[in-house]
Amino acid sequence: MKKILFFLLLIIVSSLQCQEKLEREYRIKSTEAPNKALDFIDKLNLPKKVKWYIETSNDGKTFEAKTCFENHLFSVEFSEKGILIDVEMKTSFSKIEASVKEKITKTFKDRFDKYRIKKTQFQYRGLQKELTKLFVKYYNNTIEVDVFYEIVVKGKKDKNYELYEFLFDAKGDLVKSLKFAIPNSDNLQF
Amino acid sequence: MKTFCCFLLSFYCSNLLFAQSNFNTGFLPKIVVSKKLSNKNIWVNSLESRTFILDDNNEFSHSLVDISSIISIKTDFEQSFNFGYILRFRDDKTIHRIFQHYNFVSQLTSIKIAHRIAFEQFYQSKRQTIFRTRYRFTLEKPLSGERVDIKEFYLKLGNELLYDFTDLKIRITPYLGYQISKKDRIEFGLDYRLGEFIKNNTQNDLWFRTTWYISLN
Repeated sequence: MKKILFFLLLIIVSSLQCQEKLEREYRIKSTEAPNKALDFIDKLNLPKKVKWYIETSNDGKTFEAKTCFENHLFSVEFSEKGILIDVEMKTSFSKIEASVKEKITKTFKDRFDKYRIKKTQFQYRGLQKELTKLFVKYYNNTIEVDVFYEIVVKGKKDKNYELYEFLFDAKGDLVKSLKFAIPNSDNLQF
Repeated sequence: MKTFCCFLLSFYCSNLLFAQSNFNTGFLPKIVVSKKLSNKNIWVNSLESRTFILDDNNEFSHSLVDISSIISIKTDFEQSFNFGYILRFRDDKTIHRIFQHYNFVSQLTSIKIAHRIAFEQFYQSKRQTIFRTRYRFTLEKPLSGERVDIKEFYLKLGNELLYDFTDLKIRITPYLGYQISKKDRIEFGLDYRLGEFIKNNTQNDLWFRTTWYISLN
């Protein structure tokens, strides 16, 4: 019995540690998006064009509205029923608060022999009313939202380079990490 | 629409150049089969044929067959060094080519870009060895979403400069690609080649290319 429990624990821990990120994203017409999601985006009166996508990943199927606002790429994610999940803003790693950045950097240094940050996104979660404020003034400390940092890293471990996606909370504690499947680039080389 | 405009532009540019120069056109089908040997090494083999629809004598003719074998060594997933050999059968002649490539592929938000620097040595009996350098820039843009997923189309645009220490050649390659499955993809498009650039005896070739990439992993 103990052995079975041990193996079960081992499987759970290893699956939590680093799952493989499986994701597929494809463009759709705005009319295919849920009405609730469309209403939310319409009310924002965004100055630039909004592109709609469906994303299927380890977490299920979601709808995403992508646009450029205040020189940042924004991605607003909705559930299948059009309920707002989060808002992501592409930025640079240097924009993260110094103490948090230090903690995140330590995580990377502990995990990899060598690493390079490929992409940083601020992920905002909270009440719809609060998230709307992000599009009034794109960043304001008075907005009551939970901030997470989604970081894509190219990391070298045991002489092998892999691509990972990390999610850290506002304090810089690791929430989740996923390993990417390396995309095939044969057609660009041969 | 964008794809169509690119093709139209390529045709337009080439038509301007064909007016006062030698012009060949034909088919260039190619099959590329790759097999992962280890985490860092890939073995790539390809077969390519060249058939003229319209050659210098305005005739339909078979031109050549290329058989190649490459060992690709990845330094990481963005960079690799390729070492290869091409055996070319052209009429009754056999040409041996050895080459070394350095590749750098990077993924931007929705565009993938690739640089390739190459050195080639051509060996043929009773002829002096020819050395050639090449640089190629390629861009890949998915037509749906930010990445090319299965059963999705993409656009691939390439530009290559070839210099054999006597003259310069330029290649422009707009392709439309389709990811058939996780293991194979197919590309259709044009391969426009402008040769004898410096000698002012311009040679134009326009190939209709089809390439099928198969991964045996």
